This record gives sequence, structure tokens and C-alpha cells, in this order.
Amino acid sequence: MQKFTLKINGQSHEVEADPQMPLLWVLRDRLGMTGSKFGCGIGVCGACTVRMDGSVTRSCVFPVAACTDRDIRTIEGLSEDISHPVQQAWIAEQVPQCGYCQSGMIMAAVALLEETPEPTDAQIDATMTNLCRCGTYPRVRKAIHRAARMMAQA
Amino acid sequence: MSHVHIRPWLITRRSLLQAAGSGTLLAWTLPAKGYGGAAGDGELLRAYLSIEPDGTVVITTPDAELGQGIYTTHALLIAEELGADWDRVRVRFSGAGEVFSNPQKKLQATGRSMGATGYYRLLREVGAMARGQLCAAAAARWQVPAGECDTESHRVEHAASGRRLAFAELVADAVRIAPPDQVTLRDPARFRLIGRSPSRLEIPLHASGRSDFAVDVQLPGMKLAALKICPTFGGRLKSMDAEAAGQMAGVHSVHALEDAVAVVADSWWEAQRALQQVKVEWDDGEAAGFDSQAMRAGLKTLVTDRDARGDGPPRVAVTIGDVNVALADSPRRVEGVYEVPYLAHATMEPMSCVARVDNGRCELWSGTQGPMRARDTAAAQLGISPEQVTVHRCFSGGGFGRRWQPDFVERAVDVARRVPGVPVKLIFSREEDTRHDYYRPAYACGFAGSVDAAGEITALQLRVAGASLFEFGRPGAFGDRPDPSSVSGLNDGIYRIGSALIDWSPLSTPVPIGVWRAVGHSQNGFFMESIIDELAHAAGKDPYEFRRALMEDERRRNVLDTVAKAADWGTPLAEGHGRGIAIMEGYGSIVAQVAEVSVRDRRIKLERMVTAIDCGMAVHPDNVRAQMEGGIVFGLTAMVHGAIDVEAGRVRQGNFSDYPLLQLKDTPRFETVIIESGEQMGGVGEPGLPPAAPAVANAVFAACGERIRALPLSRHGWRLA
Ligand code: FES
Ligand code: FES
Repeated sequence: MQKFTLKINGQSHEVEADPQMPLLWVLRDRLGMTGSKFGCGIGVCGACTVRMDGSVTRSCVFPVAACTDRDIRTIEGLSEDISHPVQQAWIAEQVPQCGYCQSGMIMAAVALLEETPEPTDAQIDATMTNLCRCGTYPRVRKAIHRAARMMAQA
Repeated sequence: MSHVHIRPWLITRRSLLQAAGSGTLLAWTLPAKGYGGAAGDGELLRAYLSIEPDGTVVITTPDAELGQGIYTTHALLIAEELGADWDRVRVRFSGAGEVFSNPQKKLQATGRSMGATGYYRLLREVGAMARGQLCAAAAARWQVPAGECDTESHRVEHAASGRRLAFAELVADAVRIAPPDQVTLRDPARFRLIGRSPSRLEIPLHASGRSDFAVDVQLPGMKLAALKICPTFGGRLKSMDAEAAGQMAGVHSVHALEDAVAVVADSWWEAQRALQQVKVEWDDGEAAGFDSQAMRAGLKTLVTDRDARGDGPPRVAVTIGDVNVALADSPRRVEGVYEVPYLAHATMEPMSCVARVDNGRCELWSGTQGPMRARDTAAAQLGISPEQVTVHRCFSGGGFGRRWQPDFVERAVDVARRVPGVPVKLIFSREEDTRHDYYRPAYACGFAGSVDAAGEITALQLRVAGASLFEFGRPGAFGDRPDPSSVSGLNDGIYRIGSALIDWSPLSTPVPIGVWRAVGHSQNGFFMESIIDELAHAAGKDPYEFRRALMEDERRRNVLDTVAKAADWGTPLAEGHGRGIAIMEGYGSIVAQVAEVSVRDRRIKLERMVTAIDCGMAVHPDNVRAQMEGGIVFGLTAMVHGAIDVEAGRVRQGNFSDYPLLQLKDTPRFETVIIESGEQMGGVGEPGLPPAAPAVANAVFAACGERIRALPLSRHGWRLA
């Protein structure tokens, strides 16, 4: 066990963990931040997606030891009141079904829109590799386009 | 006559039952007390609805929210009758209880697409009863007859005098008034919520990561558990050496279960890591001789060789005239074999349950589809009465039938009872989830059919073979009749047929099987609607016109016409493109789809999926659309990728790397037309799935002339573009 200081959503947290413990489990089981989900544990499904220094990271395969001095952002830090344009677009397009993949899906979409404010369908196809068993894909696509419009107007 | 027995492995009924373990009986038909939805029952009202002093309306849904949107649907039925403001409505999940039984099923169980249809009247009555109480309370204050009052926008109004009182001002009085014996339901012409698709109440929770699934439950002193189940179905734990594992950081304890090892730790990752260090010896049991490849070869023999026998003689579902005579006479004859593999549910949230067992009591937190079943399973396991078990329901990260099984609850209880007083959160790894599912059974369908020049089907012989879903764990339950799920979708009589023979050969296996979204229709839709397409081409007819001419039912024909029109059927397409059509009836709804694909070098691009659904009435039309989209993606995932193989009694696949799902980039454009026929309401969670695969297969044939008879595509030389 080692001590680590993590900066998550702008706040600093002290945790004790094995250096190999993936960030996902530090978030969920050490810090009680359960917005990021466990789906596969091998970096394939994206349910655990967070952002680290802006880039999209699958936290189930990212050891805590590599997380210090990084700016970690999770779904919990997106907004206090569900007001982030991506969340608003998600509600407007009524995207989620069971909801389980959606934190990761939203974090991936936020990152995509910061990189590419007006993504084409092809860019969405290439970036949004998160899996959704419920099949919300067509609405994810629509919501990303809608969020892009909202962010352009803001 | 001597029969070939399809038994490539040795398995007896007795060992089969043991392999299934306890608690695997399918209980769709268990009797339950249940309420008939009688008005005037205060207990019923309190179970489903409360109004807080500030006027917030809190509605209890008796169903699991699995992504099907029942959380919203149930709330809006009560809110409509109550006259509540939509943004002042909250929802909570019920626990287990007879008062929550689905009136159509007489059982509290989420499935068979019956959440809206089953509770529709009951929940409207609940809302109307509460409206009656509120109106009576206001009428007493105003000294007017209660019949002159009505509710709207969270208020009671007296139209004649223009007086109004907010719900919040009336709640205290209203609870002292007995609910009315008789209620009048609102005139549908005045609906404000039903049919209007108000924003779904669960969506802000999901969009902020705040919806609690069982994996998210946090309790003081809680520990996390990981599990390794004997990889061979029905096997047992012979011995384990947990010395090293028990000393690892964060580990609380290691437990030898009858057929599994469990590690309890401070975090799930520490539990899972320690699990790898436990040295285990399994007693594989008889299922080690089972191989799904051999079994599937057996299924093909069963549907092609009339002398072959599975568990017993084929059980006949439909006989019309003499197919042999008609087939022998026909110059336009087609025949072949269709087949589909085992499938896993692969819910995005792996199986999970929190359990605390202490002093003859048990508390459960779970996304179960069968709370009464979970409760009774835990009670039986612990030797306590069901009243001593409390079920707290959570959001479910997908269900599709998987969370109807109580196995994961049983396993959580099994671990929790060994650490009394400690709440234990059990989460299956993705691998355990994939390898210890209740699978959609593999099936084969042999067919022979003939048509005449006028486009009439003169003969249709369909022979299906596969394991019985509803005899699993209770062999022989249907006697010499077919298990209804084995032939559902084949015997609906959608088309006029001159002569027919439809039968099913049961073949039981040690593989646990269970209900999977759209159940028997999930494979039979593909068989039936592909075969009808083959017959259309054999007759030299347009597949839409061919179907249409053979349909006698107006309502079905209207669905087919609607989808054809919406999909521009018959208009020219680019080179390499094709359209396919399919229709299925089930769960009280009729769904037709037209797929458009383009094909080049055996690479398929899914271009467009158009759906028409007649579900009688749509309580929440936008959610009906979402369910059509979801059902199609689920069906096409199975069509393109889905296959579970069992080798030496063990499932080979383990994670999304070898059991892949369709991705956003693979998804076609979707359009859905909802037909409000005013007929009896049907379900929507399942019926969108069955036509998807045959519509695509028929479109591929139209595009390139190749007929797809075996799934998944990825195993038969096809890829998505
Ligand atoms: S849980 Fe991390 S990618 Fe699936
Ligand atoms: S909404 Fe259920 S997995 Fe995506």
C-alpha cells in the first residue's frame, strides 16, 4: 500500500492503495465516487471513461500510480445541476435507456466536442467507441450534434 | 423403425437437474395472490402513491427499470389520472410484495413486455382514487358536491366558482378520507401525459451518473466480493488453497462455496486480484463431456433426418393437410437448414447484488427482475420466512431476461451468510458473467416449402430442434405438446398456407438456458421471415407483394403497407444496394421492418432501418421509438457477432473482446412509424427485435443474391463495412 494524492474534479484527495490498483476502483471503492462504471475491466467497453489532462482514459486499466499530478475529471465534476450542454443535449434527445454506459458515453462526448467542436458523422463514428448494450447509438449521435450547436451558440 | 438418438454426450435427467442447481425453475406461471385492481382499497393506494406535505407526488413502480422506461411509464399513468404536474412527480422502486403483482401475470416479475399493458388499468385507478380523495377534501372545505371538483396542474378546481386549492394544501385532509369505491377514469381525449412523451424522469439521473445501480450501493462497513465459479456447468469445488490469497492486502476472507470460491475484500479489485492467487481444484462433473459443436451438428440431424430422435419424438405444433403430397407435386420447391447459436445476455452492468445476513434477517439490494422470486430464494436458502427478507430495488444496468434468474442473489446471500452482519457487495467479473449466464438456446430449423405460379404457398414444412426453455429444470412439463417458446413466431398464422407441418424436437443439454429478449421469437423470426422470403423469390414475386397477398388480417396488412411506404419500397436503389422486409407479431404488437443494406465483397453496410409498429396505443411514443431502436441493435448484434461456444462443458467466450457488440459506427439510420390502431395495447420492449435479422438477411439477398441461413455473420465469411 502506498499513499497517493489525486486531483479529481479540481479537488485534492488522499488515498492509500496498491500502485497497480486501477483508477476506476480507487474512485469507486476508496472514494465512493460511483458515477464511473465497471463494464469489462479490459479497456474495451468505455463504461469507466474519465478524462485525464483532457484526454479520454479508460480508468479500469489505468493504474493509480500513474495518476498523480494529473487533472482527473469524472462525470461527478461535469456540473452540479446537470447543466453542461452535453448533459442538456442528452436529456433533450432522451438518450439513455438502462443508463449504465451513459457516464462513460457522456465523458467521451465531452472530450470529442472539446477537440472537435463541430464533429461530422464520420468523426463521431471514429471516436465514440463506447459500447451500449441497450442500443442508444442513434440518439448518442443526435445528442452530440445537438450539443455542438448548443456550445456554438453559447 | 430404429431411431438415431442424438446424444453425443452422456447426461441423465437427474444430473441435469443437479446441473441446473436450485432455484432455476421458471416461475412465469406460479400462482400469486395479486390484486385485481379493485377500487376502494387503501392499502393498494398507499403502496403505489404518496403525496408529500409540500405536494411532491411520489409514485412507486413495481417493476425493474432495465432501460425499457417503465419508471416513467408507470409514473405517467398515475400522474395523468391524478392531475399532477409532471415536474413535481418523483419515482421510487418497490420492494417485493404481493401487492405489487402484475395483474396480468399474478406475479411481480418484469418481463414479457408486460409492464405497461399489465399495470395500465391498475395504475390509472390508483391515480383516480387519489384524485377522488383530494376532490373530496376540497369539496368539504368549499361545501360543494365532490362531483363538481376536478384536478389539474397539481390543484383541485371547482369550475363553477373558480376556486382552486393546491395539492399541498389538501394532503393532510385527503389522507383521512377513505378512497372512493368507484372511480371514473379520464376521457382519453383529455389526456395531457399519456401519448404525449413527457421527458423521461430517469434520464437526468443517468445523465449525471447519479442513478444508483446495485454496484453503486454503499453501506457502512460494506465489503466487496469477487467470485470464481466452477467453469464447467454443474461442476463442484473439490479443494482450494487460499493461504497466499488470504494474506494479500485488503483481503478480509476467502470462502469455499459448493461450486465456487469467493473472496471478500475492501475493494472489488483487491478481491478479484486475490481470487487469481487461490489454488483451486474442480470436480468437473458430467457436463465436461458436453460440446456445443457436436450438439449443434445433432440439431441439424434432427431437423433433416426424419428418423433421428432427441429427447423423444417430435412434438407437432401445426398440421394442415398433407405437406408430403403437396411438396411432391410441386415444381417450385425450396428447402434448407437454418441455424443459430447460444447467446449470452451481456448486460452492461454485470450481475451484482448487495446482501446482509444477520440474526435471522436478510436485506438485499439488487436490480432483480423478480423481487418476489429473489426474496423467496433467499428465504429458502437461509431457512427463514419471506417476511424476514427485505428487497431494496436499484436501477438495473440492462436485464433482457437475465435478471429474472435469482442465481446472483443466491450467490450474494451465500457469501454474506458467512460474514454475518457485514453487508457484502458481490459483482461478477465480465468473464464470470459471460460464462455463467442462462443462455438463449441454440436452435436449428429445417424447412421445405413450395409455391405455385400464382404466389400461393402450397406447402410449408418447418422442423425446429433445440432445448426447451420452459422445460429446463422441469422436464416433461408440456407432455407431448411443444414448449410454446420453441415454435412461437412460426405458428402465428400470418400467411395463408395450403398445407403445413410444424414440429419441434426437444434436445435437453446441461447448458443453463433462460429467457433472452424476445425469447423464442428471437430465432424463429429469423427462420420464418427468411423462409417466406425464399418462397417469394421461388414464386418470382416481389417479397412485399408476396407477403401482402397472403395476409388475411387487415391490421397486419396495414403494418406491412405502412413500413413499405415509409421505406420507399419499390423505388430504385444504387448498384449493390438492397432492401429486405420482415414482419412479426408478438407480445401483443405487430412490427414490420424494412432494412436497406449495401454489399460489396461480402462486406455489409447497414444503411437504413425503417420500422412500423402497431402496439394498439402508445403510452409514451418516444419511448416506443427508443425500444424499437434498442431492439434492432440488440437483434443485429446477435446477427452479426453473437455466438457462445461450449467446449468440454465450459463457455469459451469471456469478455467483449470475444463476445463483441455492435458499435455506434455500425449503426444504420433509424425511422419508426407508430400506428395508433386503438386495438388492445401491446408490449414494446421485445417485439422490435425479431424482424431485424431477417429484414437484413433479405436485404443482403436482394443486394447480392446470397442467402444467409446461419448466424452470426462473422462466422460465415461476412463482415460489416
Ligand atoms: S470497464 Fe473500463 S473499458 Fe470497460
Ligand atoms: S443505456 Fe444501457 S448500456 Fe447503454
